[in-house]
Amino acid sequence: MSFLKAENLSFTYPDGTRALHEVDFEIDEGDFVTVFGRTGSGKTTLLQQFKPQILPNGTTSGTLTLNGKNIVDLTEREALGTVGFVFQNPEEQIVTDKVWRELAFAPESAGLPQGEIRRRVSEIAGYFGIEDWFEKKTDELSGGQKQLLNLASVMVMNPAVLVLDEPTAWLDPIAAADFIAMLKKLNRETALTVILEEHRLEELIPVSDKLLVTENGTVKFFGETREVCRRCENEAVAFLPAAARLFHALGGAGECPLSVREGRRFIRSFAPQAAAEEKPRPSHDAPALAWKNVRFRYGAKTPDVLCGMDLTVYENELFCLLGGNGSGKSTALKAAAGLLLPYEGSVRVFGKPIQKYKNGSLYRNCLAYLPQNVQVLFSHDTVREELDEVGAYPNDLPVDWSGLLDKHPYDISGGEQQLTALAKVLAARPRLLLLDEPTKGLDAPAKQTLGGILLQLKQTGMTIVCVTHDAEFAASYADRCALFFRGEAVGADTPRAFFAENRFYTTAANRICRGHLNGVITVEQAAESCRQNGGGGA
Amino acid sequence: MKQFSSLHPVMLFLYFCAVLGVTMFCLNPAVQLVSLGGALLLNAIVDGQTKLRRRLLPLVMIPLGGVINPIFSHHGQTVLFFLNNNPVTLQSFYYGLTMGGTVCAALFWLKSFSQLMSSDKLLCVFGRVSPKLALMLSLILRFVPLLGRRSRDSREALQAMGLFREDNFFLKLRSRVRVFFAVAASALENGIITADSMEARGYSVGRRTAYSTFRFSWADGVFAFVCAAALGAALAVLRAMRVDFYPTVTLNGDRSALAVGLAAFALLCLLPGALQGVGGLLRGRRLRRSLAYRGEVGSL
Repeated sequence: MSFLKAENLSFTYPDGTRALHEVDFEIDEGDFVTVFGRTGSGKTTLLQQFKPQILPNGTTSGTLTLNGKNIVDLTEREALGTVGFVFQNPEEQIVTDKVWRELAFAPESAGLPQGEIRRRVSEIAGYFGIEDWFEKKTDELSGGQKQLLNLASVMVMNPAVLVLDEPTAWLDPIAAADFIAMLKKLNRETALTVILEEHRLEELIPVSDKLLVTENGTVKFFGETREVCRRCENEAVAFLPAAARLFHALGGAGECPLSVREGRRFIRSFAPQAAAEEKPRPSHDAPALAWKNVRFRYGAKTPDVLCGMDLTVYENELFCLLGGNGSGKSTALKAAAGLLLPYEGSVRVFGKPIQKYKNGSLYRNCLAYLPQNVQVLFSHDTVREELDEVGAYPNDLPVDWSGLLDKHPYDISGGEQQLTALAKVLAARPRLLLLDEPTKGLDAPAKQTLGGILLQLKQTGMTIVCVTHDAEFAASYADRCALFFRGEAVGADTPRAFFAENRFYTTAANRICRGHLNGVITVEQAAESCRQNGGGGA
Repeated sequence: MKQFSSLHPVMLFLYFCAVLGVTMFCLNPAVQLVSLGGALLLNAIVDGQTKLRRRLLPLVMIPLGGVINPIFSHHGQTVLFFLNNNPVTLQSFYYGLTMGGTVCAALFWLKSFSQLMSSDKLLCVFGRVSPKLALMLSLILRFVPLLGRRSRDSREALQAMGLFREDNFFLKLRSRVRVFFAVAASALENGIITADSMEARGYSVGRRTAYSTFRFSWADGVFAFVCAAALGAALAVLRAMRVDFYPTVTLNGDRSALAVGLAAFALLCLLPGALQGVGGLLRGRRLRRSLAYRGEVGSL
């Protein structure tokens, strides 16, 4: 008898749309299963089947059994101790005000006695390394800590199966890697069965036992990780790690590499390439945005967040400012948008100090700013009303709006929300566009769409400054990049020079090719270089 | 010996209720004076930061009561003088002073209460009464800073779109309303996620318990016993301790009952200050000894 088994599992919404269609799979105890697929392919609905308490309205047919017992037949109390569920948004799934109270929430709900709760909470806090911030308010935690707390608050009930819905989508790469390491530790040390859905798979696929790829409500592929990576085709390839994408770009023969280490072995069979001749740096136009010795802090006694920041972005550039969460790059962007007043130095927009723009002229035909959480821009019932409110020109963007306009802005996907918000801020016809983490929570195809749109906007003469921790995105689309560290922008240069010089803060493709194919920073470049230089085979 | 502040929250809560109750329902200048003394002592030990002048500000209530009451109340036998053809009496003046003392003592106790009872301690107390109520308070405490942050984000985003302007009253009002709607929408929509999260963590399984990090110790028991005894003694003679102000100032019962009641109440009022002060000193001495011991061992 298998541990988890789905047979003919289907789910239909009340309006008749089918989110899942006759899905079958079997999962063994202790498996680490990663689920991926395009937005709307039914992944989230599939995960919700494991936790009937949070299923939306609709009808389920077929069965999902755990140790032979149908999951819908479990009582609430049994379900609490059997299946744990972690959601995407680290912020909203936190229930209480203090860390220790959050950990105690589930045991309190189960009505456990004081002594038992004390033991469980202490044990889980110790295991997760929460002791240092045990007494803190949940509001004071970083994004990574919040998500770790959510995981711990679920694990405190000691479930046999852990289901996670894009848990690292909102985290920066370092916090995401920590989170995945903790999952793998739980999986390895306690034989916890992990079923996880995610867009960002670079670190995740190498540690997964099995992959499940969804498409239009069905299971497209399900099986051992390496096998599924090899068989993936078309759109699904975009989700794979750099090494596997390179493998597919070069024809996909032999064993599919998954990690950076395997990728380096894989390209060794291709002829090496010396560092490409650095193209002459593009001659710069007039400056569009300049930070000049900018200093800013949030409180009189807190340290400077911007410590004499100096950076110039030129007209018609797509500039990416990279850095970890909390490094102050969002603050730099807010200072550029005139939302903060530096206590020293100045910000110049198109050569003019920002204070000289009077009566909101800065925000008319000049500068637009898109915040990290675009939901704060929405206050209407439909996308159409959102766009009409500001007289937006949605048709300027190469987006199919037909299915979106009558939907509620909170019901559309993260990528669609991003595009709606972008259309909204573009209504002011800006010449300078400031974006804060635009790729946060987007899957690979949505990122490609967004990147394409940014390139198109650039062709109309727009200057774009993008704050991001997504190295792959910056490598593919930026004209220049800089690293934000300790309140300053460091090492502004073309992506090729920037990432080729970085050893750790760089793209996976660069880490695979370093020393063998020099000056390569994207999978496309690596594939191109391999094809030109020849070699390969076994 | 434990410090007053580290006793179990339920003990603290009950203690403050008892002292405030007696102070407010037993009108007798001596009782108010004792209560005020105890409150000031505790305040002096607990609140080290506020400036003395600011800290003693509530004392103004006493003369204020003495001045205001005779203006409105004209009972009493001994007429001092007439104001606008109304008699101003000595008894009314005494009554005002005593009422002022009650309010003043209550303010000092409440100040100490707010300084000693953190949100965690309060929730622990409420959790004893109703775990659901405690959870709801915790949800609110979580929600308030979240909403604040979101409304700032929304204001910034709208400002950068030229939609948040404060040039004149109407623009200001419109901008504020806009932010309010954006924040309300996000609170409602994202509230669904919180609800799902609670559901997934067994919110509707059944009867909740309330976990707290505080535990009863023997010191709580001793404290409860002493307080109960003192309070019991004071309550037994409470009626006899009361003073009638009109037409003349007279004591309800006999003096010996008053003496017993006052002694018991004084014990009750001075206990926290004494515990906090002596407990703090002893703790400091033990701590120094412990550190010195390690220093000596280290130097061997």
